[in-house]
Amino acid sequence: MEVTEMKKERRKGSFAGFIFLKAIPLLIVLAAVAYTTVYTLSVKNKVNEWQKKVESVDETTALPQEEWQLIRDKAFLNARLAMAANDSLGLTLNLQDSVVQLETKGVVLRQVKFSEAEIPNFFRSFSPSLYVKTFSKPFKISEFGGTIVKEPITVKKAPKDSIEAARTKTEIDTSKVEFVEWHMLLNKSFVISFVQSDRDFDKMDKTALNYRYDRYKTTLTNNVKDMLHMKVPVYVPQITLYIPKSEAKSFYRALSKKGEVVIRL
Amino acid sequence: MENSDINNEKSQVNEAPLLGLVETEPPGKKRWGRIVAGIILSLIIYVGFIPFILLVSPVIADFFVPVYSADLQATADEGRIKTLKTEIRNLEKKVDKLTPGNMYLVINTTENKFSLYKNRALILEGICSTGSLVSLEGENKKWVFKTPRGDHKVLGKLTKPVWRKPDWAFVEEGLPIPSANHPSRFEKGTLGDYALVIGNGYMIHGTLYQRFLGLPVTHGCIRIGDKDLKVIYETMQVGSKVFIY
Repeated sequence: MEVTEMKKERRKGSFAGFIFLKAIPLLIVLAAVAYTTVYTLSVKNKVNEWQKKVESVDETTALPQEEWQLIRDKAFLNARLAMAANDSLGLTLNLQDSVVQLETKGVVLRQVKFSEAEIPNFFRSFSPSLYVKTFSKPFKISEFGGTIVKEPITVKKAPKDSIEAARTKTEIDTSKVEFVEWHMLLNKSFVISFVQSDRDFDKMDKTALNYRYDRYKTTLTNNVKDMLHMKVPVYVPQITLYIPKSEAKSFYRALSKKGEVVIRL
Repeated sequence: MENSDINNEKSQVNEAPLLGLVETEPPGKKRWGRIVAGIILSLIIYVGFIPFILLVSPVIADFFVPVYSADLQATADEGRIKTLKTEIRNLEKKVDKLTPGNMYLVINTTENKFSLYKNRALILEGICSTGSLVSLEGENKKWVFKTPRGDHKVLGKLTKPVWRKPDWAFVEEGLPIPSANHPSRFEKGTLGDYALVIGNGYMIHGTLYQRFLGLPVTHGCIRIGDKDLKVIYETMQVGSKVFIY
């Protein structure tokens, strides 16, 4: 009697073991492979979609290095000139020289060097004609988001009398430590993200973790939704730059939705 | 037949060490080893799934993107290169002309810092105070103490400026608002020794509260320390540009 019960228990255990140790992990691995495959397809689709923006020009022969360099220099200067016509503050990202500049009407207000950047190959896939078409004019900012408040306005009610005024005098809190990370969506098609260069995990506060979680969640939800509807997800390329915290904060607060961005790869 | 088989097996086991064979683990232990390894592997799969698709999948996808690269060996068409170089030089000249050749002041309202430039060279840097970003809500009116961003010009230069207190200065103190030219509106010394007017009631001026320099405490004006203000006042002319960001 005891032996049969033991056998039954064993069978139950081995069934649970099969489900949790074999079946589900196998499904997860298959899902990861499927996701990666579909993601790769979505990147390829995006590359093709952008390449179609230019009329088919025979670009089978690669340009000489010097000419390619000059073409990019010219596109950059043209874009900066076009941005100078805008009244709002703009940002210039020179990825070749690792420099980010805040500009207004062509005047450089602040310049900062960055030591690290993540640039996906998507941006390096552009043919010269697509590059010229894309980067010879500034990009429009379509969305902002970040770990810090863009304009930290404090609302204060007018005091009734001088006694209340003296009592309610506000002190400035200089001890507050923030983790600065923000992003902007350009031309509704790709993202530029800035992260403070001093970015150890222990420096991240709850707001920063929530911000990252929200961004990952949005990407994942959209991609999984598309996959469930048998559609290839929309790939949103992202350039990430690591710059000093003070500049990351100043640039975020200085830029407005009317601002523009110029990029030189 | 069976007995002889058993005896034979026993003798083989007894002779095993003599034959140089080592005793193996009982089959139970092996099974547990496999189970533990399976659990660890499954845990890695369970925990690693989300980080994998968020961080590794994009890297794998990126690997398959064809990168455009220039031909390092090819020699460029000299005529085309010459034309491009001329066009670039002309564009550079145009961009260069956009920066004021004389003097200009740049104010960073986030960091509360200023930079003074003369002939495109930085000649002075320091701390200042800008708008507190307080929204003061009175009974019928609201004021937001914010330094206006963008590009401005010095419209006027004042020495020993007298502050004509606006309505909010009284509302903020919980005092009744006096008439437009009431003596209580005029205060000497509050704005320091110099002031540069940049329009719409905003000024760059000195302060009695030097300890607040570097902090956002003003009602929209830009406060600068006495020494730095003197240099700025002497350098900047009427018409000089002030860029605020």
